Amino acid sequence: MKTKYQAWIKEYAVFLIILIGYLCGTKQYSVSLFQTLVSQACIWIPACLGYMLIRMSGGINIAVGVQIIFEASLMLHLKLFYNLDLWQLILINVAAGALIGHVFCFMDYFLGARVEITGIALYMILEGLRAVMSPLDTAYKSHILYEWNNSSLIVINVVDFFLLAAVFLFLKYTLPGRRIWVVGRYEELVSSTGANVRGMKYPAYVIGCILIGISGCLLGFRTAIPTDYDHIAYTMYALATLAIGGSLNISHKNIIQKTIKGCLGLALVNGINYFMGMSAKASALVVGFIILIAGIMGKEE
Amino acid sequence: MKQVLFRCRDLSIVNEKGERVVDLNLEILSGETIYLLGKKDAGREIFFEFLKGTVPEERGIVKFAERENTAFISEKDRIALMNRTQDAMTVMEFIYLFQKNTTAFLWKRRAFERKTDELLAELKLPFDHRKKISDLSPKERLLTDIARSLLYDARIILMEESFLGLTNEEKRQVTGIMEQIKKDRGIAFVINSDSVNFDTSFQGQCMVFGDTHTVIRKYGSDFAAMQKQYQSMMKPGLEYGNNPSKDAEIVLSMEYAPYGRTDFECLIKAGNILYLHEASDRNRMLLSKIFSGQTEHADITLKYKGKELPEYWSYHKETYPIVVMERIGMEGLYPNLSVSDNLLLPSYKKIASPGFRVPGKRIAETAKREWTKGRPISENIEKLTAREQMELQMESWLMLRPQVLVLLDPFWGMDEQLKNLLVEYLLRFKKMGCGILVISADSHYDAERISGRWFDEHCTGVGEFV
Repeated sequence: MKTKYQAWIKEYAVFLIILIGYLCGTKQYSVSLFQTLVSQACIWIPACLGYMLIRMSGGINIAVGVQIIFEASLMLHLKLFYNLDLWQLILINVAAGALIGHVFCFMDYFLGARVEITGIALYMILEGLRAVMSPLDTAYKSHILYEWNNSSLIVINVVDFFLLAAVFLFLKYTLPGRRIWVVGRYEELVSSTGANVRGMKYPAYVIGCILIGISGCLLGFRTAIPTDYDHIAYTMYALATLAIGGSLNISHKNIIQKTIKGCLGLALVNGINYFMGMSAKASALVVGFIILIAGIMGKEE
Repeated sequence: MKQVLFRCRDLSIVNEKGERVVDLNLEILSGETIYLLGKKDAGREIFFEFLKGTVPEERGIVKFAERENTAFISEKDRIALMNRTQDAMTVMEFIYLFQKNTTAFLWKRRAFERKTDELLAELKLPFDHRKKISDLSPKERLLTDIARSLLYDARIILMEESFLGLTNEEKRQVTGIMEQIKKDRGIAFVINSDSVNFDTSFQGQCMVFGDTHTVIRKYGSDFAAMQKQYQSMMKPGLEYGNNPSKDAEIVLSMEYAPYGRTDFECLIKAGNILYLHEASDRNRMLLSKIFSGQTEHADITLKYKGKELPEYWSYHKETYPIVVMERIGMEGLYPNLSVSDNLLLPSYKKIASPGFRVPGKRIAETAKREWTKGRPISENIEKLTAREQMELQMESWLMLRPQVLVLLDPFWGMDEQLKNLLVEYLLRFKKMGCGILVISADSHYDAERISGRWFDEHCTGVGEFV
């Protein structure tokens, strides 16, 4: 019985805490906390899903934060200096995500073991590009953000819902989707059967990077312009999401549920830190400890 | 009329290691079984790799009827898969997710289940698609693998050591099912194996790869004749490997071995490793005793660097840098002495002389400090771990700097880590120019592993057991 309750708590504790916080707090406090939590989590969900897909397929370790911030900056840059429409911006961001996914896939194909180093180089380039684009006028920024912020929470929720549903359907009802975790776990075995291993990793890279790009889009909609060091924090948050959700080790089961749980859990931790008056650095410290503990306790499945 | 599935004429293949097949002519017809037998480095392995498609041909004419419909089944991969029991993958998922070439996009569960059940029924397997892959027996695993190959209409099925872990009864059942599939579907099997222990009811032709890197025998269905011939060819003996360095100095030689072989000559060269494979326990022990100078034989002459060794040379007043290790680990040490003394004892004969005192405590301590490099190691020999015991023994003999090292069954009863350690030490001996002779009846696995590590262009004496 004990283990049954333990399993239940492990599975649903995050949701339970949020619900209790929402029901038991004063009205204003609980609503604002709830909104903050949901909006934070919603931004993270696509990126974490993408990251999880790439991890699951045994792909290279991607610094998610750099790509998110690059894409957010790209969107704002295009809006400010070229005044593109919203659908154009989204399309360009998705294309940029797909392009980055292709680049990674080809790097994995051609470079093999050296890919981690070149991955870092690519991220340096992305970061450099972002830095070139970043000097924006604060007035413009606040204007755009105000304009976009009016109705974005619902939009983000809807976008997230569709993305989650799409990824769920892809993983459950298509052969390439089902093969993603197989290639991550049994790469040598799959290659010995003569199947195209890189071809099986390809959808994970491309879809994963597109999802990370969409996350960058959402970040561009919602929050302030990222600073120079935010990409480190965001990369760490993606890792923390995997740790809290319970899929730090490659596992193919309940990936959607794990992602939602991880995102909400991370948002909860951040929210608690914020309400306790912690600085950003102290908050990062807490998140770092969570990753560390999860990494130590996580077993190879 | 049988269809030709594969045909090659004057085929030559070479890989990076220098293994080669030269001027090979072969036809694989539908409904046929081909056994690839013989020594691994004599071209068997590389030809199999070529059929798998991982090695290109050097020259020759090659024609596959359907290149893409060649399936490969490996025992090692399957065991690796089955050991991961936590995945709890079903048979249906295994068959469909590990497919080679498929154009399907959607996961049509019902259709897949139906097809899986049909395949399982064809292979006479008594379960359906829901069975967990981790619950299968070796025979069922093998047949499930064949089912996966049948799914995409494989025409040639390549199997690697696929009868491991099967009882004779199961082998008979599997071969019966395979015969049936061959008849029904016109499939050809190519089996890469290093043993002839498969069932004789399995009709087919055998290709045996010999020393000259060409196929030297091709048999029809006369299985008994093939087996006899094969065994006479593969009888135990000396193996020099592919690249013996001819100019290396012969440090020790033995002429005429005691077990009925005429003109037998065993040459141990400096900086080389030589395997002497002998299945009989008695003969192995006798050989070791002869090399170590503890016994004599009328017809055997031992020569060290061209000079004949005296009778019972190990008890002779003159010393020779020949070390024979019959026991490795705790049994090869002196249990009543301390660690320092054990470390120094083999060298006593060398460093102690009438002009000097017997080495004292200080030199033993210095030797120990040099060896341990600050590691805390107990002086009590019984408190050492197995690894430390082996290190101690090997270091003590390394200090002697022997010219010849003879080992008797070195890997017997060792775990993987100790084997690796021993291999590292043997490499150190080899590097200092010591000629090494390994007398062993080891399993194929060990020899393969070691030859893999010693197999380079400067290295000689790679042994390969069959």
